[in-house]
Amino acid sequence: MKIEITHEPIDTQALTQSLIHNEYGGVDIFIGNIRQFTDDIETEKIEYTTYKKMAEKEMHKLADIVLAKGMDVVMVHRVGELQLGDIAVFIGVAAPHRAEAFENCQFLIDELKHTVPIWKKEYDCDKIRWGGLED
Amino acid sequence: MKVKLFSILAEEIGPTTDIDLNSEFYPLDVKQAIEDAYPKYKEVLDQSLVAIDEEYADDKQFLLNDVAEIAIIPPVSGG
Repeated sequence: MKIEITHEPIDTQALTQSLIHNEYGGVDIFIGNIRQFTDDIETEKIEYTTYKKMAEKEMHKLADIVLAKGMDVVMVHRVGELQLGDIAVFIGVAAPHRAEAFENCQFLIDELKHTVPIWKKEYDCDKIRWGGLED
Repeated sequence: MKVKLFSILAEEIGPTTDIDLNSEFYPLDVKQAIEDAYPKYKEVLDQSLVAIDEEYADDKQFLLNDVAEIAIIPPVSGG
């Protein structure tokens, strides 16, 4: 199990390898990276900030739900200034079978987006947008 | 009492702001005190939650003496 908020680039290969164990037959991974276009809006870069202590606590709460079902979990989120194509988040779940790996990986990324105190400041070509806030 | 601010509030007001709270208070009082000092941010505050000692706070009453850290959590947008 690994939970981390980091300023460093995310090493997807090492994190993936850490989820390969003999007792698990399936590993599902979600990688979120910086997208250039959202409909007609072009993004130049995104700056992520966090309330680190609380964010890691909230990530642990989510991971504990999946760990309690006998799976392994990796949740890593990068913060700081990220450019197009940079990886912002890596979620991985190792489970005995693929269905539960898929299901729990989706659960973790969906919940992370709802509860973990991380914020994005999106530098778009037309203006700056703060993620999550209604315009 | 110092309140930690994040996202747009941190950038525009600062990383913390000082407010006066009664010895018994509700999380809503925290948002109201900040709104009173910075009315411009009413809409952001309306969309924000309050965290007390790094946990999302519900509507219950808190004792100021028992509280170490308060933060305003604007809508999160990780991922």
